[in-house]
Amino acid sequence: MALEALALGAAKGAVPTLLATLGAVVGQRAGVLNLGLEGVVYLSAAVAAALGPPWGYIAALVVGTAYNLLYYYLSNDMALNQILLGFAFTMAAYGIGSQLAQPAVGKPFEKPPITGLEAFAAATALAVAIHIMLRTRLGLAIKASGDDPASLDLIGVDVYRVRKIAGVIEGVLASAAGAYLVLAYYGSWTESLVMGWGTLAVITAMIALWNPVAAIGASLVPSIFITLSYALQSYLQASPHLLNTVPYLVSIAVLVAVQLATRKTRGKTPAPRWLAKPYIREER
Amino acid sequence: MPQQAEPALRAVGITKFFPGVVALDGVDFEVNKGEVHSLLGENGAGKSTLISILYGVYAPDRGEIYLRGRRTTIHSPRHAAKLGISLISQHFALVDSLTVEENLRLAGIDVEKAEKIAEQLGVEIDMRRYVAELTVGQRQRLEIVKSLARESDVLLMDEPTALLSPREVKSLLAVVRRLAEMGKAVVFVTHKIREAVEVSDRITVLRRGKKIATYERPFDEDVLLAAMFETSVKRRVHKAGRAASEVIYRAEGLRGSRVREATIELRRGEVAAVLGVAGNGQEELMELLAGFKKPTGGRIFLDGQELTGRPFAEFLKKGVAYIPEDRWRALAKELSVLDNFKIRCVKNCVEALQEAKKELDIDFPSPSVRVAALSGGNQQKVILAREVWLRKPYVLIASHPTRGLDVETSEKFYALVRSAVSGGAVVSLEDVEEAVEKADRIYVMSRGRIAASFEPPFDIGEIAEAMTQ
Repeated sequence: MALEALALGAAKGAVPTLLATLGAVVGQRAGVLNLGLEGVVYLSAAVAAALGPPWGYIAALVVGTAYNLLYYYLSNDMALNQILLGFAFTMAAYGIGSQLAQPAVGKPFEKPPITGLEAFAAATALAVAIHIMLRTRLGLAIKASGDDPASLDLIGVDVYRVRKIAGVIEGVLASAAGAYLVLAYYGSWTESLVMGWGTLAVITAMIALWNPVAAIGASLVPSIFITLSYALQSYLQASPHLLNTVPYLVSIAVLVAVQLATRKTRGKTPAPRWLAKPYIREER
Repeated sequence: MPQQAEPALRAVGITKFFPGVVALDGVDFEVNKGEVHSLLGENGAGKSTLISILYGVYAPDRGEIYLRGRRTTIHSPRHAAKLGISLISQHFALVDSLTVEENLRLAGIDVEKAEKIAEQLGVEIDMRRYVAELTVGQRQRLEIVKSLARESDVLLMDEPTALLSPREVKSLLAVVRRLAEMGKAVVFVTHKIREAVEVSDRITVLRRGKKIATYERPFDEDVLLAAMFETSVKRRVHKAGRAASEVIYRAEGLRGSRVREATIELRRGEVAAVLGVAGNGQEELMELLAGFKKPTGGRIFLDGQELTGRPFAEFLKKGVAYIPEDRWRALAKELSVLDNFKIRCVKNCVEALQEAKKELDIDFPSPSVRVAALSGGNQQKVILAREVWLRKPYVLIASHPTRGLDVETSEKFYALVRSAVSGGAVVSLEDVEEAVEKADRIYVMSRGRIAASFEPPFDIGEIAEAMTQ
């Protein structure tokens, strides 16, 4: 009984993680280590909370995607430092988002059932993203953009455009995750509620070794422990704040284990070689 | 005069200025369908600039380009590709982490069509292999197939043999001839006379941005050589047969991951060459000899003192200099020429650099220019200036030190080694004739072992046979 509840909870929690993780997989495959993903998830969640269903969904997608695209423009076209920008985008989103959603604090939304339209929309978005990455020329271009942008450029494909397209896909998925978190998963908003979900996605993308299918399994890792930490709160005397750190610690531990394991198999680490590096066209 | 068909591509009076230099000065050039027309010249003759103009990378400052008889302005490489011109450069437009098939799809090429073309061309390509697993020659052939699949009828090949092993050069030249038979117009850029003679229908020689002449079959190598260099450089054959001097450096039974057993001796005043078909462990052997990599077995002695397993810094202190095959391991790409020089230079570096520039004829506008902006040959000269001219090492270990250099500069390199290296040098080379002319002793490496060693007088046939064992 308790186990069933745990499984259901984990599955529910895995949906937003998977959405954001796939977004991060697409972005990192394209060579962009978007640490601002946390900000995108947070901001879109805040917008969704401020407007409530149903318009909150749409507004969250629009704002979140635009915010993500801005990050991609600055980090690639303008070649600014991806890591610094990531922190800036996260902090800015915390500030703006918490102001925007101030009026929504403590007012629960009408929580729609999990089998609603959102679930289908989420499933479709996942299917489309996986299809793009594995089956299309765009997917190849995104992979090439992270592994060898100079060659991609020589082939005649615009690297900056490919990266921006990846940014849009990542933005849509991450803001869908944000909206889903507030409107479907929690059903309410407080300032610190969705903090950390975007960061987790950056990590789970790495746990999945940048493979969109493996992302499905990887998303369950933090989700299981998030659910578990809620469940344990009623049994254990430990501080809930301490318990809340468990999913993060476990995720990092798994990340380290996965990286060590792939090193041992002597297989080439599938990490995109240009991860976190802007592509600057060699002047001739 | 019989009515000739319009050439596939014709450039008239092409002039191009770069800050401070005239890169091309009124050059005429044309290539017909079904013809291989070579552009021959030493480094800095303007070959690459002309190719870049024909491919739309630069716009010419003066001059006209006619494509199939019609005047055309080529705006960009993408535009050139649309016009049916393709470039096979030294940087392949291939992504290592994708398979051959994925690369074709990424480039928007029909895979079946590419397979058919490969068959016509007599080239084997395995669609499921990752590009990272292909040899340089295989990648190059894949690039050629790609350009044919795009219906290109003019192929520009910029120093296509520079990175190939002798055997791969042979099969490339065969493919190039086949391209001409298929009716393509091929522009073949090289600084190697022998290759040009072997593959071309016509040869145009450039020198310092000017066209000297266009030659037709049959070619005379001496005439071509004289046209390439104002003062005809004779390849000086080093007079061998000196009195045997004492052994100053000795490596016994060295082993590494690819090197399985190598014993090498170097005598005072000697240049020893290590020859071998690419991929037989020469690069690792050089790393081991220089002390850059620790051997898993064997011993190294310098002047009778054992240095096995000592840190690289100690090898350096004892006067060993190492020039790796990959230039970017010896140069910091993003730093200036001066900063790169300062890696080994302590005082009066600007003056020293200017002197080296004059002595080795290095071409760079100012000491503060990024080293990545120099041509390959000049980058190599910066390395030579620093490691040999400046350091005056006791023992020099150099991997392909003359690759990418023209005849004149590689002559200079050997002269420099004879004058600046006080002990001796071990160089790995890919050209048998160069080794025979320059070395006092030749080691042949095969499958990780020193398969044979030769002393003068050398027999090229014997050496070549040992290399292909």
